[in-house]
Amino acid sequence: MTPLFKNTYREILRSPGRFLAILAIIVLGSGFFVGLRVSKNAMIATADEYYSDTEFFDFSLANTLGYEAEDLEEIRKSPLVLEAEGTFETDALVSVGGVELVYKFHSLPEVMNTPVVVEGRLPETPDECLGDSWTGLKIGDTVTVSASNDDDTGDLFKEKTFTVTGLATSPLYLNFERGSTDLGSGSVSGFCYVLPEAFDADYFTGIYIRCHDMPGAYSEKYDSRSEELEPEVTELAEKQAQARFDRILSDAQAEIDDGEQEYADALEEYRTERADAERELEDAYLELEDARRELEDGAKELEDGKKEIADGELELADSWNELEKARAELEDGKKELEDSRKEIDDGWAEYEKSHHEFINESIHGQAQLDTARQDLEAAKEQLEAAESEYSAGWSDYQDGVRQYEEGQAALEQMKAKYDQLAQSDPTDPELPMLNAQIAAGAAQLESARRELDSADSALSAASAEISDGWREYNENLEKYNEAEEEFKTSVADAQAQLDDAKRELEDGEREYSEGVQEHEDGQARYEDGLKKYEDGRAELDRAKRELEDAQREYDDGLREYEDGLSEYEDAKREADKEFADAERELQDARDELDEAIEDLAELETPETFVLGRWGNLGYECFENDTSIVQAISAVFPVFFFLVAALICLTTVSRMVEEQRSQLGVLLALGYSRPAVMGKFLFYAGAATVIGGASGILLGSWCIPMVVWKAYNIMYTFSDKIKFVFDLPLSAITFSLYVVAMLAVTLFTCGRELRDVPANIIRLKPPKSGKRVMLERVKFIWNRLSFLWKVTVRNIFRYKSRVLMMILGIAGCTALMITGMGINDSIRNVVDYQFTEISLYDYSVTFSGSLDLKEREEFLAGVSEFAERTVFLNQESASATAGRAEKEVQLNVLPADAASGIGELVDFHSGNKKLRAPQDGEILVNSGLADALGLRAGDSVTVRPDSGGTLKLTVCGVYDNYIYNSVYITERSFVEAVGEEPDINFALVKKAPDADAGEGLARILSEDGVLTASSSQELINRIGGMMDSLIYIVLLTIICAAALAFVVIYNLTNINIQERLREIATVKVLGFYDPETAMYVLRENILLTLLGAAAGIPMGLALNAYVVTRIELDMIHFVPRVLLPSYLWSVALTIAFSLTVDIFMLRRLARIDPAVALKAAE
Amino acid sequence: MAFIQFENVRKIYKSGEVSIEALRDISFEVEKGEICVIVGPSGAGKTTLLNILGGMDTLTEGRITLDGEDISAYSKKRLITYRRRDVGFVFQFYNLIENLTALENVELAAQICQDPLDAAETLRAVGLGDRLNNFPSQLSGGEQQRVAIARALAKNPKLLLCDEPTGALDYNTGKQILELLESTSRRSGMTVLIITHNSALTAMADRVITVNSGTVRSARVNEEPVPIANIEW
Repeated sequence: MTPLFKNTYREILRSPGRFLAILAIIVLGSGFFVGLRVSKNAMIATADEYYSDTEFFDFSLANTLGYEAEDLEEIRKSPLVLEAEGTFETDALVSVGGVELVYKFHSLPEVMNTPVVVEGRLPETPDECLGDSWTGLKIGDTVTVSASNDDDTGDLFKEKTFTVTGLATSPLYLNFERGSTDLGSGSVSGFCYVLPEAFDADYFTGIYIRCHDMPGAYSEKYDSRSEELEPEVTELAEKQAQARFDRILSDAQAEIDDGEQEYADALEEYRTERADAERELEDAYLELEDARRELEDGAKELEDGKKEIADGELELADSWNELEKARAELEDGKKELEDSRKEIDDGWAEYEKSHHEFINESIHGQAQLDTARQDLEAAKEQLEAAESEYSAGWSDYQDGVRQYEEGQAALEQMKAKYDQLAQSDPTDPELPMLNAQIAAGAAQLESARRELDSADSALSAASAEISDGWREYNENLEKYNEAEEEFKTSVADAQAQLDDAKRELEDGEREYSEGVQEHEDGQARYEDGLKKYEDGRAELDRAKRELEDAQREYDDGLREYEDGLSEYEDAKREADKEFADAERELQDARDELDEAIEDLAELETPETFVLGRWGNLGYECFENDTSIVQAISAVFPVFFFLVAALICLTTVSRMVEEQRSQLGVLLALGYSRPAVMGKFLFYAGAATVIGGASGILLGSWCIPMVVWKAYNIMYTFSDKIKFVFDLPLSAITFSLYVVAMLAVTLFTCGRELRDVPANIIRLKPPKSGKRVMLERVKFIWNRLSFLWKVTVRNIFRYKSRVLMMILGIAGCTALMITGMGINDSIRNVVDYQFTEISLYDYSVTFSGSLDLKEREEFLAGVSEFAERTVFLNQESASATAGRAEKEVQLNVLPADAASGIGELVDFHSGNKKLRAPQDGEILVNSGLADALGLRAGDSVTVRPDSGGTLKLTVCGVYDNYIYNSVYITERSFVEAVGEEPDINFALVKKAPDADAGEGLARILSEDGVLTASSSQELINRIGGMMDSLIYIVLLTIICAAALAFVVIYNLTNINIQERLREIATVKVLGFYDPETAMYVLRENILLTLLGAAAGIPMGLALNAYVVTRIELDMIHFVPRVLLPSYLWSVALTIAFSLTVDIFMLRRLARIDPAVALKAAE
Repeated sequence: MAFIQFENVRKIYKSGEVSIEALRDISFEVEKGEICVIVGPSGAGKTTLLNILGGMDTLTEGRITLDGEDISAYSKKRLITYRRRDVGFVFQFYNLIENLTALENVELAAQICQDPLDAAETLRAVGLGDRLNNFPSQLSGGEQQRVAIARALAKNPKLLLCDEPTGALDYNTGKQILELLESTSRRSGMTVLIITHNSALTAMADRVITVNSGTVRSARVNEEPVPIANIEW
């Protein structure tokens, strides 16, 4: 171990970060570059392996007549051919789970282009098939050859329904492209392998061959070898096509001869048979005539019978009328009788009632009279009693008067006695007693007197009453006598009336009895009449029945006759028809023969097609797709190489600076300059060699794996990518890095060690402070805080570091913008297409041209969910301008669609709206315009596949990303082609709330709809395909992060080491840790911001560069970077930078100012 | 109680298995406003002593108080604050920041203090009124040291620590710098500690502490300090 090596080894250990930074940037730079470069080769190697495993063809031979087994044998014999296999292939409309699709059917090959079964097994019987793993088919599904195929296609299949027994990938279909077809929607949805026995064909549609000594796929050698062989293969193909033609020709001639013979025989047979049939018909006709005559006689007889019956009916009707009249009369009489009976009964009842009343009244009158008489007698008795009472009262009164007068006299005596006494002796003791007796006597007398007076008046009143009573009695007596007289008279009158009534009633009874007798006689007469009528009726009915029997008999006869007649006519018609058919058949046979003869005469030598691998869409697309990776790989070396060089430069110059005195001493001791520099060269060389070697190996191994993971979404044929080591590329990359690093080291050392040893030994004065340009701009400078000023000055102190930092960080941002921009540009193409341009939800292809009525029916059918429908003509065409030619979808707008199309397809260019095309004008999509170099006002030639040539003026170029679609008016088409375009296509926009899937199913169920596709489905499908892009984005983000980390770490690291003293001083001054950190890291922050800002335009440019290099068929990518991508890129850049800063914080905190200051002395 | 007080201070550096006793049982005190010269041969532990007093290093045992505050008990963060507010450093190699002008170097220190002096004023006071906008590389060594002193003074510290302030200067310039320190102390009553190996300078000090082999050999008060202008060496 030389001291130099030891020294270097220690140097590395002393600050491993510095060494690792150089190592890392070289690992990253060489690894990503070689890895991405090699990815394409690795992918191609993987594909090549798949191609040789599946024995992929070198040439496919086909001709318009097909080949036969003997042609295949002949081709196999050719010395060019390693192996050859015939194939039968045809496109057919199929129905899978109720959806109509176009599948490409292949006969299952045994050796070449063998499908790789990924699930299930190969078909074993003719009704089984191997499905396409890319489609949503599942094992057990059935694929039915649809009835809507034309006969030619339908007849190719012996089996119509196939059960899926397995799913496979096929080398013929490397990616998702399944090719286009003239059936259905124009594109094939999937392939389907069936056993050759499932086809009803005795020829091959093509022959695949592999040739001897073919180099690997996609190589230039392969292409040149392929080109070299093509003429010979074509010759072979044409020779066998000619052989096939000759065979067909001779076979056909033999067939025609047979046909002529058959025709002649058939004509003879026809003639004999016709004569026989005509005779038989004649006999039948005569028989029918006899029957007809007999029937006519019978009809006359029937007519007579009918007339007789009609007369009888008339007579019967008359007698019935009479009977009816008699019956009515009888009923009237009966009613009259009943009425009079009732009258009489009523009369009797009334009589009875009156009689009864009479008796009651007379009894009642007598009773009244008796009562009145009794009342009179009672009154008389009362009066007499009152008279006697009065007499008694009167005598009492007389007695009273007398007594009173006696009393008065007694009193007078007493008075007198008293007076006497009083005169005599006033003091006598009897005096007072006597006085009292006198007074009592006087009072008694007074009351007796009053009683007498009232008795007297009562007696006078009674006397008056009695005389009134007598007067009333006499009056009443008189009235009574009058009433008695009246009563007697009225009784006599009533008796006389009753007797009269009774007499009348007895007369009525007699009359009634006579009426009854008369009625009974009438009734008997009526019944006799009725019986006679019924007898007549019965007789007539019998006659009628007889007539009906006769009629039936006649009808039967007639029917029989008519049956016979129609039978005859049928037979005749049939015979005629048969004759005509036979004649037509004969004519057809004749025509066919003639046609065959004519065809044979016209049969052209077959056209032969020989296609190499480039004719296979998957083969071609795979190469295109791998170029995406290659385009991206171009981006990396720029940054990494420059940054690696800059890192090396700064690191080495720092190291030299640190070790100046040591170097000076070495030089002073007499070591040569190269020997001294050797140490640094060794240091840088070690980093480069280790980094380059490991980077190239790791990159070659890992990156293709990651890329393949992404591509696996589109290319499922292999899980693992082959490991490819590209020696020349690796060697060049490796030596470039080594040379560059050593050159940078030499340059740096040389610059530092140019001086004389004495000066070198001396400590290099620290780089002096300088004013920066910004200080002149007082406006900004004065606004900066003090610490920012320091930062700005520091930044501009070391130009190479600033450059490195900005380049590295800008590279980081730019890489992320590129990665996310690729994603934005590609992923959102479908969204832009269907949200900004194609506003329709379904495109519908009809099986033929729709007339007005059919269009209305379709509209009615979808009216439930469809908001807008536009019918138009769509067909494929080629567009030519100058020498460039492109396949396009030609859309012909009928007059009524020209206005409505704007609602379904938004024609715009940027923000500018475009109008629909006028007559003679064409609206072209941007992709086509780019490809053909068209601008508004240019002229372009369009040739529809159905014929005709249109010369049109471009009226506008509209933004469009998917398919080449051009729009013209119907009149433009009619003028050029001379016929109306078929209305075979419709665009439908659904109502916002309608379900997309249901709508599609409804459309598919409409009459006349061949296929329909939903935009949503397409969005989903392509969206899934674009998922692979996320890996590309991740890859660039990881790469960007690595770049940012290495650059920022390295710079900060050097910065800190170099400014250790300054940092220590600041710490001594009393800066807290965060303040110290900011004092240093502020530069990182500022540079990160500057770098990120610089990275945006760089990213845009890179993105544009990469995106325009990505070519996918049908899809036109426009570089786009969305706002979130900018934000993310800048935010992630800042985040990466901050991560390094946070890591550096610890390092700064560890710096001990005392030690740092001491070390510097 | 004295302004600065060292009590049995001990400092041991450990480096792997080896431990070196840099300071051993150091005790002395300095009064406020004094100029104190710490003298001793190289490796005597002068710088360690100064670093510990300046809050740049910690001690292993003992106690240091400044103006009554026990700085030996300070946490790391508190030590930074202490450096920030209370201590001004002057180094042998000035340690100016190359990328800042004289004025800016002073401002850098001033702007983190609570009660700084005006930066330009301070520079004028050290005699650099006309070199405010010069970068360090445009100044002579003496001028650079003046800037360093101005930077220390602008912080308005409690004490000024000078580690061989004339070590990198020629005789006359060194003398001028010492004069500046002396006049600063006398004029403003600033406590100044000067570390030197030059014992001639002890004459200018109010207090002289002799250090040797990590311990204090003597600590004496100079009753009659001689102005530096009168000292020759």
